[in-house]
Amino acid sequence: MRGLGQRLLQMLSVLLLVAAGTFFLLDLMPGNPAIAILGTSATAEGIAKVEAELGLDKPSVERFWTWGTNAIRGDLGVSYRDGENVASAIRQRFPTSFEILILTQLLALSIAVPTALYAASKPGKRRDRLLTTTSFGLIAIPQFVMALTLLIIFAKQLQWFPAADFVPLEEGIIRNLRSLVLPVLSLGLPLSGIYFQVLRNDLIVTMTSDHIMRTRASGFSERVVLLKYALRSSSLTLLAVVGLNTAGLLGGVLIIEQIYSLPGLGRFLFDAATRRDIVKVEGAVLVIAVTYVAVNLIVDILLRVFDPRVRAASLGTSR
Amino acid sequence: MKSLRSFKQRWGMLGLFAIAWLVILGVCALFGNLFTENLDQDLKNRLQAPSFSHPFGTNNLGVDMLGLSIKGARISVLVGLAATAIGFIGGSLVGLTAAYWRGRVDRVILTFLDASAAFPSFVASISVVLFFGKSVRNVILVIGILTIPVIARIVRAASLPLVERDFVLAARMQGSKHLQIILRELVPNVIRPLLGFAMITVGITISVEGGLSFIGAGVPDNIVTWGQLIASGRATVQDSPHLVLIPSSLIFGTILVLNTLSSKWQRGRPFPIVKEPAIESVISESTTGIGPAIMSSDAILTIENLHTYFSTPFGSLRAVDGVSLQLRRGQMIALVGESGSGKTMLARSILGLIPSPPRVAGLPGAVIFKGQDLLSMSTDDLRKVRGRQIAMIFQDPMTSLNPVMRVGRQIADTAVLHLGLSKKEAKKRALELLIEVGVPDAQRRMRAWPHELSGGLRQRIGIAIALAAEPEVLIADEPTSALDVTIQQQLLDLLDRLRHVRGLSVLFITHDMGIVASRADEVAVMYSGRIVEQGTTHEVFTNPRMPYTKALLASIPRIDQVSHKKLAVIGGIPPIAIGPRIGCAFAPRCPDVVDRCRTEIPLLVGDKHKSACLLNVVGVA
Repeated sequence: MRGLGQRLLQMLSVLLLVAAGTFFLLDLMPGNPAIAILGTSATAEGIAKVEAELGLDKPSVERFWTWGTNAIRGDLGVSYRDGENVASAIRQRFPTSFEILILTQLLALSIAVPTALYAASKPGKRRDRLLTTTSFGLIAIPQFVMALTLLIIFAKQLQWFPAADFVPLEEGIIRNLRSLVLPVLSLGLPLSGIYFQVLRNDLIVTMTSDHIMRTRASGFSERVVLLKYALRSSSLTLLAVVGLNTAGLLGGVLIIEQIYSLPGLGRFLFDAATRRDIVKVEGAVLVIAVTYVAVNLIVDILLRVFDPRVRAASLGTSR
Repeated sequence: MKSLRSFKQRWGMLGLFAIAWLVILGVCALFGNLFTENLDQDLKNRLQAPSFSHPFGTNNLGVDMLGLSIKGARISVLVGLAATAIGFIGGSLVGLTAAYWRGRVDRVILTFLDASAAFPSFVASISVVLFFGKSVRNVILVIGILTIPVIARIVRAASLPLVERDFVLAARMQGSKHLQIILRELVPNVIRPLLGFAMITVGITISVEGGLSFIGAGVPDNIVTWGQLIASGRATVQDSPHLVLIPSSLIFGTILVLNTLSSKWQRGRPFPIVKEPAIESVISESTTGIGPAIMSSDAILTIENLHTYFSTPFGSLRAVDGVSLQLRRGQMIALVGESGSGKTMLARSILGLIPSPPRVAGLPGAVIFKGQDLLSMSTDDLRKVRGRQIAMIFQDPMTSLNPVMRVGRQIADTAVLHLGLSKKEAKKRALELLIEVGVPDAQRRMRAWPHELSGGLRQRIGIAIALAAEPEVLIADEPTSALDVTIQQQLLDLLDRLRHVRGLSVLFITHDMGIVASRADEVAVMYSGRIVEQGTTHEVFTNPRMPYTKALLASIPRIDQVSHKKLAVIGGIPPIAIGPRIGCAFAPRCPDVVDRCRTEIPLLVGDKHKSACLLNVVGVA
């Protein structure tokens, strides 16, 4: 598969771009880590000594090379600030974030797919209008508004779910899931509105296409036409959109993590960034970008398996 | 009053509400500061729930929340508009560049866009704001820059297909300047959907500002925005949820309103459903149009006075307007007419493939197949006829095959459905059919995807699918129009052969008189939803009666004529069949028109060779 190889190359350049971009941008920012370590009263001699220890006296390209080659081996370095090993610090945070990512996608999809099929089975009818309006409403709710509202209702008033007591997976899956219900709902409900609209609109266009008309003319029932023939091609669009949402859900759910006190990557990144802990920021950004690339590569392979047109396009046979 | 009503028709109730919301928001943003410059603290009335004197309640310092909300609107809206503007200007530049120059430029830009999607940009923007200091300007800049890649993607996707269109290529050929082409040809064509998206973006940016302020990385603390209000209400959310819920609803409402308007805007002018004006009168006129139906015993498909109307904002569109036709066993009837004459709609109406609405229900007509009226059948029964007894071949083989299924499977599926074959049997049958329709290397082609095949091969697949369940009647809707002449002849030969081998009855729909001459038993000419001439092929070709038929015949290119001689082309365009029918529909284009043609509707008369033309009846011609 030459197309896939090309895609792989492109993804690698994406990774390089993100890693290098972050590294050099941070490098440009004022603030000497050595001073940060030693305090403002440090002597020039002391600063030079620490810089040499940390390798900061070398040119930034060389430092990037060292950092990058170490990162490939899984070593993300040690924080200048608190001496914490960045890789192991991220390893503590990553499972929670990844769990939230997976649960949120699952929730959003399990709401969006059946409702979109139901709406698209009678486009323009009451069920469709009702569901479409609802999805508009869901999309319009900002994450933090959703999170606060759910918190007020279900944690504070009704007290059905814990407000801010995250239980890690190791301490029991039931309790863990219970503590994630509200955060996942806050993220998944607005997302399900988006997925609903993507799938519904695609289905409705597909249902008016020639090949669906032909399927109808062959005597297949509307149910079969929708579930077997239309869904097959429309779900591919949805799949691509799902892939694009990865990075945002992994590192961008800071507000949710804060409201529900979750030990995720978003807060890790935020804390590191506000404290100018460069090594931690670089590590977190890299991990998020790698996950994004990996998920999208999987999506890409799936698209290739299910959609022959994508294969053809990447091989350059069509067009 | 009238303008208000048409306005309401255009936008709907929800739309009117949305516009009202935006107007109020605009007024608050522009002039709200006149009233809310000095909002008084009132420590005695802290954290009050909404009441008559404070409709939105008061906050932890006793300041009126209504006043704060109005005050907050100003900066929230400013941030939304300004950030969107930055995002759109930047995004359009990047997107248009990628789409216009394509190739390497496009790939580089795409990699950057991908990288930005892989980058946790929200956290990045927080750090940037905190680093450079909290200010309205910094917030606007950061959100605006964050929006650029999103817009760039959309602009690129919207302009890519345009770049290959003829008008852009033509402009390039003429050597117009790149900038000119982009500004004159591309931008006007992508601007409409983009403006719709801009409305959504304003909503999104307002909410991002809310998020930033909420985290404490937004505008400075002394400036009021909705996000700021939510953030400061969070501490007392337990007892005074209104401090959070009110500004939250304001953000929510604004986004909802903008999304609603955007979707209405992008959809363009909505089609209001117009009540059907008195169908009865139309029908009574049409029913007189049926000739005496000859019920011969070997008729397999009889169409009687079939009507297919569509409801449009301007009234009913008469696509099929009282057509009667009889197909006998083993016979091939060619239905000829220009595009827009209603032939495709006739074909689809036979199998009940046109949903209602837009199809107007309750019109007269029957489609009798083996003694049963297909139009009054239940959908379940009708499905047993579709494909099994009456099958269709579609016009465009490029689009009528399912692009994500192997062709063998598509043939086999129909056999499984109707003949109850096992998967294995169906596969075997599909292979036999592929060989029968003349697909070379059939075994291998079973596993081919539609896009891997040529147009001719695809149409052969289309025929194989149609034959999969051994139908008796084949409706072929311009099956060869999308193909070149050589392939056309091959496919017509194939259809001929199949017809004779399998004893099929064929209704062959085409706009090309030329290709039916030697093959069809009978010709029916359709114009504006009606049959205007019908007879044996020989009769119609040698002795056409209706001027329209004559014109169609004259437009066939002939080898024996000098090639550069201009083909006889019928002037004018087919009429749009809306409103009451007055006179002969062909009258405006007819070379032999007389005054009566404009007022009197000609009926289809004659015994074996029928025509609907006043000239023949009176014998004026």
